[in-house]
Amino acid sequence: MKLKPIIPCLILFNTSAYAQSLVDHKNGNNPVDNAPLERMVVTGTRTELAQSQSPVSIDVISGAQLQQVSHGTLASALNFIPGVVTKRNEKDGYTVQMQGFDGDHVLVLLDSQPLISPTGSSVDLDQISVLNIERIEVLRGAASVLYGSSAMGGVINVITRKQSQNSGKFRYQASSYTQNAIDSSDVAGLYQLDIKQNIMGWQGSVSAQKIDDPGFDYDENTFAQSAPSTDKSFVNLGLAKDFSDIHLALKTRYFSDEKIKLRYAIPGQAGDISYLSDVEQWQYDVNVSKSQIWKVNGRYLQHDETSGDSNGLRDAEITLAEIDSQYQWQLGSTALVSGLILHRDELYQIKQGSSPDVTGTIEVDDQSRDSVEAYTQASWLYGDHELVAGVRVQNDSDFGVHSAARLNGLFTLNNDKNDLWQLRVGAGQSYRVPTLKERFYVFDHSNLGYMVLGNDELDPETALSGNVELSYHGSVTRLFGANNTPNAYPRLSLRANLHYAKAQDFINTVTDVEASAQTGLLISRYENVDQTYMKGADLSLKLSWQKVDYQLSYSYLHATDGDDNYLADRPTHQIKSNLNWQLPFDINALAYVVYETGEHPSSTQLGIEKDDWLSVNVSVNQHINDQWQWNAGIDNLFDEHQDSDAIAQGLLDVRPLSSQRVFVGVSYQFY
Amino acid sequence: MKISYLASLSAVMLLTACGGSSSSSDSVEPSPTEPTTPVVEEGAIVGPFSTGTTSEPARVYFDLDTGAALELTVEEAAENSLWDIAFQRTKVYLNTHSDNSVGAFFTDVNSDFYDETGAAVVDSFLNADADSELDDYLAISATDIPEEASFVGDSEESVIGDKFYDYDMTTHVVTANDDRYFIVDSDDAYTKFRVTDLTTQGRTLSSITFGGAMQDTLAGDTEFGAESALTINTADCTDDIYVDFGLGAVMSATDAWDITLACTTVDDITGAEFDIHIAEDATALVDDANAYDAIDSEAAQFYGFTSDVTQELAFDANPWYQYNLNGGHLLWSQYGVYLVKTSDATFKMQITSYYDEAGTSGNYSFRYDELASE
Repeated sequence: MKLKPIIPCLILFNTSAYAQSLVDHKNGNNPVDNAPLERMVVTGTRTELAQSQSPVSIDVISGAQLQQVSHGTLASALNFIPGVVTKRNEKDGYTVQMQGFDGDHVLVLLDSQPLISPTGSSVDLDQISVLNIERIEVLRGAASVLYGSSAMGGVINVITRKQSQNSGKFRYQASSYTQNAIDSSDVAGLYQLDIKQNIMGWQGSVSAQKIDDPGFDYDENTFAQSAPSTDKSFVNLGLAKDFSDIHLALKTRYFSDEKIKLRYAIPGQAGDISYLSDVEQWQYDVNVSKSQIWKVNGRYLQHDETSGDSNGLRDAEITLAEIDSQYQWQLGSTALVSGLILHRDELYQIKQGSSPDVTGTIEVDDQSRDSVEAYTQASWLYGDHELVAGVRVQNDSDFGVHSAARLNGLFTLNNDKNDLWQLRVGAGQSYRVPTLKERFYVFDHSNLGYMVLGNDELDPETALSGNVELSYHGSVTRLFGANNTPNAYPRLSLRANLHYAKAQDFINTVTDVEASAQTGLLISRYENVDQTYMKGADLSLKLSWQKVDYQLSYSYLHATDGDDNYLADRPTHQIKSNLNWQLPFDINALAYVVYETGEHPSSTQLGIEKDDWLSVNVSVNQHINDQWQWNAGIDNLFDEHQDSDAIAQGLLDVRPLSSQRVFVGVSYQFY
Repeated sequence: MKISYLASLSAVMLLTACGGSSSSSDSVEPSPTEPTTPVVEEGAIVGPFSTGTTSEPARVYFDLDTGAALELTVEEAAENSLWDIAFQRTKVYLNTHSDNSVGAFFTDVNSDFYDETGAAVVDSFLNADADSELDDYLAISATDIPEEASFVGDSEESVIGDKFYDYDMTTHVVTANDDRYFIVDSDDAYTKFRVTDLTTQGRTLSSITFGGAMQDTLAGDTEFGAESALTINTADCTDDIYVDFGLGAVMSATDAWDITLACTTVDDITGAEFDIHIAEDATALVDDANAYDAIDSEAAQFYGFTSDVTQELAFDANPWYQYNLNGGHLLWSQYGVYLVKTSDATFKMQITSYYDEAGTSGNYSFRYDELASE
């Protein structure tokens, strides 16, 4: 058997066109005037190839777009992406849903490796800075074969910037929550410093970001504050160098986050109780790779957090360590990518004592989990068609061996880059391993009659899923039969995706009858109990014509449990639309709209206050010259937000905890 | 911390007593314009007293007469008559010592904190504080003290105990109450039984006949089987009697058993006591209406099975708090006023907070004053 490195032969469009597009974009030229912008993606196959040739459909949002629609973190930016539902969690962080799967079942990666999930399995998007991001790749549907646990509803892969020219840039943005401001003079500040410098063959980068946000409050007459005041700091350091054909990269990421939000008056006392959160996170990455042949990525992440109400704070120490190695090879006509991953999670959680001299209550006692995971994915090319099959095996210290397999196919129905019809199909298995909290948690509220306990007998959650996607990339004129016209405008992309998933052994808390009867308490324990069925459709349309880009998408979801009851907390219908207009004087205007409706109330909700919401967001930015740029905009133009009274009354109000926000910023490029 | 009125009064009396026993002739007459003790207003709040944490609870024993918290173990407290009221997390206990059997009576000063359906009026709880509820407290006087029978103390109750027979007060005849069923959950099986017949010998039982039916969960039973009779001659017992309905036999203490009757000798007459108990790890309930043909083991916790002996706390009949009214898992006082009758006096009492200044739970603050006749 002869093994040889795979040649990157799958790329239909050359990378220089893509690079040229980026340069044009950076220079403020509208890329829609050029040839179709073809991006390189890695998430679908773990190998770099053109977006249109990925056998798994991948959406891409560029770093420049992220800056335009975000306020420093991914929290609000992902709301821009079709089919992605962003949700604010109980810690005032943000998670995403995809294809009906909640944040615990959507995998968020940074450079194809996992991050720490302070809440269950879901990463807080508000803890990821947009500052040094090159692009985000969004894979809809299951991808456990390539990425393991939690990749059930989709994968969001944040790709950081790798190579760059020397540059230095500072940006400041001020914003106000207008009528919801706690104090009318409150101003939120965003500070960014981004320096890239090549020294003696090393590519160095330093980026730092600070977010100072005063929070907001809907009703000054109520005691509780609606959104917390936050103080976030991000620092990224990077060093990279090529040694012949070997690339070495060293990265360090630091993050800190302090939040405070007034919650309650203390019954019978003069003081008050606030929600507090103090997070510090360190990440160290070492990457060694040989282009398109092999790579070894090491990551160590330490997350220390003190959070909770001020009268019941918890300390959590979370550690993640992983070595991810990958090799691309050729076996006859079969291209293969194989990987071996060593992964370790650690968790220690303690509820603080009532005073420093009182011992706290350990809730998760220094538990850990180790896994060895191996995967292989093979692809076969038959003319313009491609078939991909993969399998992953995970040997876990908790539950032993688990495996998943998946098959994907890309069928090119009409191979003309100006009139391209493609069919993508996929089916297979996915899974999520129990978290350390689900296995070892001890939450003791016995004085109030209940306890919640972990269960070390848990098995992984599993799902079987399939999807079919038909896409078209061409132009309106070609689509309607004018095949011989040289005019390829307006450029048009259409996509229709149908998906179905049957998930089982979902972990939920259920009453332990025997323990409850023995103790006289309501004892709940994590168990593999729930089944869910998710089916839906995603439709999207993209139009590009001269100075205008327009995108419209619609997502439908039908999600039920094993008893055919609708799952709560998920919109049935979602419409997203955005319009990007390149105006004279290097002014770029962006408007995007998000509309969601048809959410079903949970069993504990007493009625419906509002089951639809609309968010309209507008912004403009202008390059004044090579150094100066400014931007301004309004998020949530009509100030759609939840009604705190309705929530307190136990009613469903799907409008997010959000506020109208007016912002203006300026940036200066040193060199 | 403010000093309670009563504590101050005690201190004054103590000082007075000491002064009275003094032989010194050069003692200084107290000036009428400079009182030697602070004046403490009625309704002053004492506390907070910490009752520990959920995992490590502590019980605070409080003596209303002296205004002092006593450091006692549970065992010491059982033999101690000085303390009147005790607190441990959400529970409030009254002393049951024979020399100080404390009773409580709940006034209805804040009954409007609940609507006509009995549901808490959330705003009333959230808007109330110690200051706003002081007037209600001050309004309670000695004239509000009810007759002694209205005061209820803490008590213990056996889940089966003496409920299996009827006693005719006129004829003094004891007969089996064969309409009353008991269901025992022990050793992974449910046993439903009643006493269908009994004979007495003096103050003891000389024989007892049970009708028992089994639902063996481990064997896959989903309902009780047919009732079968079991008669036990207890007249000549030498040891306590342990009954297993599954085997239909008398067992020893070390075997698996369902119920037990103590064997006793009264005036040279041997027999079983009129008292039935279950094992420590078993639970039981009274099925007065013979309502249950089966026990759904998945829902067993909702039937109301209790252990052999349960403590009935007087304060539980009228809880002093409401829980989680605004989503914060907090306990909000109703600021109800309790009358607490000790062996020496009657006090009024209002619990004002379950928290200290930092919001730490389990920290009781309350106001109390003795109700003295005008």
